[in-house]
Amino acid sequence: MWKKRLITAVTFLGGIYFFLEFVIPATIPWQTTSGIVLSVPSDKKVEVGLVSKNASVPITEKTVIKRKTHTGEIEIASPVSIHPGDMVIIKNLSGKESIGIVMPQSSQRRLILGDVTKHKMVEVRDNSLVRRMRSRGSGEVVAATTLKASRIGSADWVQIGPTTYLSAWYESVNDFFVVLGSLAWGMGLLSLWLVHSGNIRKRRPEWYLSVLFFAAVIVGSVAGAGFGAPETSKEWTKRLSDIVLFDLLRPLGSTIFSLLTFYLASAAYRSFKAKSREAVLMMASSIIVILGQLSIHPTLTTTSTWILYIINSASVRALEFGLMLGAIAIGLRLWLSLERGAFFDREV
Amino acid sequence: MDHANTQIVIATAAVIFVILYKIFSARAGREIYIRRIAGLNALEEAIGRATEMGRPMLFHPGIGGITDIATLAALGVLSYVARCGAKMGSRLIFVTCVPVLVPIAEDIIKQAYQAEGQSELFKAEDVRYLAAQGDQLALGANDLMREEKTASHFFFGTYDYTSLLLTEPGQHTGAMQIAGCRDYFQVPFFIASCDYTIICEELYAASAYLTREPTMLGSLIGQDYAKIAVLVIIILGTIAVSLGPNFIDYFEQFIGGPYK
Amino acid sequence: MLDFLIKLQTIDRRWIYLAVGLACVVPFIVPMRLTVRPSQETIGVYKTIENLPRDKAVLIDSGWDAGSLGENMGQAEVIVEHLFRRRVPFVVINIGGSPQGPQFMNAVIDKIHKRYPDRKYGIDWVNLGYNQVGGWVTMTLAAKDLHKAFPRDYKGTKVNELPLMRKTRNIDDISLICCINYSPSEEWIGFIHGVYGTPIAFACAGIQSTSEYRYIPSKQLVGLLVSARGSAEYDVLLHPNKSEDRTSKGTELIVPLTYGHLVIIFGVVIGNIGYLAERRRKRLRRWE
Repeated sequence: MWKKRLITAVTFLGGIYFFLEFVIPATIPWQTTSGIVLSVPSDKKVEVGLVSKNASVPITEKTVIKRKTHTGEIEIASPVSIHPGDMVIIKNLSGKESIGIVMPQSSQRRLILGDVTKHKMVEVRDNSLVRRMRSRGSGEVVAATTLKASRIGSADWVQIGPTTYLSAWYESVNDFFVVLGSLAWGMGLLSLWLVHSGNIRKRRPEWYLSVLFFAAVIVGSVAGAGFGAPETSKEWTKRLSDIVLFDLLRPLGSTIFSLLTFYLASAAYRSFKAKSREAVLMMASSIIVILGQLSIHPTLTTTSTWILYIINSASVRALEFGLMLGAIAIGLRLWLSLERGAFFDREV
Repeated sequence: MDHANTQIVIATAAVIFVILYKIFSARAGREIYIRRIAGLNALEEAIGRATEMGRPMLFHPGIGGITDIATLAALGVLSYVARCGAKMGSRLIFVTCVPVLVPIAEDIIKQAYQAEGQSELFKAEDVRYLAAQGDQLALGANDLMREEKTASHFFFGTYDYTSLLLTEPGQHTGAMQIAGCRDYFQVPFFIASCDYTIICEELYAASAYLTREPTMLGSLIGQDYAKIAVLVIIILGTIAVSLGPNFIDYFEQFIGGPYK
Repeated sequence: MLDFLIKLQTIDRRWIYLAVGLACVVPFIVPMRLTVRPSQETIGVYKTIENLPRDKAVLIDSGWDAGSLGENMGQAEVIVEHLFRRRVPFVVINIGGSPQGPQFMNAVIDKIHKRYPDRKYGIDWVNLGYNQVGGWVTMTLAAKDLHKAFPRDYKGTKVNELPLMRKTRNIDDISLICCINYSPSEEWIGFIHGVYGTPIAFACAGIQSTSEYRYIPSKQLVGLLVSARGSAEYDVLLHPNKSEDRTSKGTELIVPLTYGHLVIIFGVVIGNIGYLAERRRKRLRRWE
């Protein structure tokens, strides 16, 4: 019983960390200062300009956006390259110019611009996080001295406040996944060793294939030593690596994959029959899509593109919504140890 | 975004609440109805067919790892198939390309056969780690189908292009094949070469459907309510887009947009 | 006549295999050319690469291997050629794809490099090798600190010793992410494009393309190269005037691909003729 409780506790703690890390902001919201960097007098002090919204400008493909760099020079910028904190000059179709600092609430379709209304000197304490904000509401933790400051042009948009400590563990948890991933490789090799050595020991049917397996592992490992050598190298390991990879693995892999062509043809011939109205519709659309991909006639290509971009996209998105909600439900059951069936509800 | 905004927090809390509420109300004894899924109903028929012909069954859990949700769903189906097979006295062969699944599957199948008093039917060699990659596993499984003359094949889990490499030769052996896959681009191949196919999300519902366990059924209903909420938002978004750019902005602000 | 038509749905599958085999093999023996018209999704990738700045690198996530060589190799060739031609530097990584991915990508780069011998490893391109952890974990780490995710290149050289990598440290230094794989990971879109806005292009197998098309109308992908057709179309865009310069795998395979598709469609049609003839026979017998 205690083993099950231990597993339940560890599962819950692991899940709650990721859940809280996502839901809770990196810094304490009511003690966080957000704005553009006007100057960085030292590594413990940052002068932040508080920005108030003054305009909301829609962006189309024809909108010309000019950005004032941190040195005051003007350059043309694409909507994708705009970050919060950039000072931009936008001329819309009617010729009206809007100037302001891009705020983090902006999206690719609409830029929210503002002006600096107040200055504030923020102290960077030991428990403070300095986050440089990017587009789409995401930030990265940086040192204060790496911030780009400017009073006359674009600067970094920064959030400085006391840390909630959750995000600090994120990289350690990522490192844990790296180690776990490496362990899985070892497990796979161990399992292969156990299975094939068992076959040889007990002389099971076709045990000689297990001998071939071990020979292949040794040859592959030796050939791996030749990987990375320059193309002109005359080393025998390089030659062996090329033989294993390009003369053995490549044709074998391609052969297996090309079996699909034949199986596809026989499956299509056998199964694609006009048994019902839905089957006829499916067949017609699949023939149009196949022929449209072959550049036979522009009308076929246009119809095929319409089917793929509109109808196919809608149905795939619908399936994807269902799958993701199903995955959330299963994840929730696993996290709270509510999962039943198979081995989940048995004693360890 | 790397942290949730207010709308995401509310949506997450709402989905969790609905699912948990339905789970606990199902556990409290409330009747739950879920519609018939033909493929899952046919599992018993396939197992019965194998028993009558005196030939073994083959179970393939896909190529996903143990952390893959589709693999976990497949293990749920495996448990059911193993129990039914044990009850009817039929042999089950399990093949995989994921080493971690070998001891898990062995445990599931062994427990099922022991529970039905058919321990002598279970052999550890029937749980086979054939190869490290999906395509090699498919070729190995084809070989097995021909050698062992399997009468029923079960394909549940995550599949890539190797789906047709498995099912088409299986079709030629005359076996009854039931497949369940969460990858929608492999579903057409399964439909073309299998007798029954369980599409995408129905795989996640399989465990609930087969075991009728209240927790699983409640969770299924909860996620259906979440889907209805998503549908309502989609309809609102479609109306907003049709009404013009200002309404799109209001709608974006309502759902939280791409910004904080 | 009806008997003959009914027999059309019971043709031995080996004849079908033979027909498909001939359709794919004959174009290699008898050289043929087809007119290839670039599609919208291919043009999207081409235009994006054509307008890339030269001071930032392109990140290529290449996880394909021998199995999907026919589909992905041509895509890799055309993308590398376009980048070499425009002198846009690129960094090759492999996040969770096939372990043999770096070697296959090296073979492609070596082939294209022969046409652009002045391009230098370490300055114009770098191959950082394979990271088996994969998934969003490595993607987000690479976006924040590429040097931490890949501390050495595939030869074992420290990344700080490579000139290109000294100025390519995180997602700010990347102008485009190209994912060339049998099934490109959609986590790039959620975790990188959704967070940082970096443009992404996919190059995938034909069968996977149906699930990637939805990202194009929503502008989450700048374009899509679909199978050998995508690389053949790209080749046309790279060499609009001289068809003899189009030497990618895609151009090589587009003719057998076309004939193979036509044979499959023909098989479906004659199978349906046989099925409809059988239905007619049953109906006639009922009336009798």
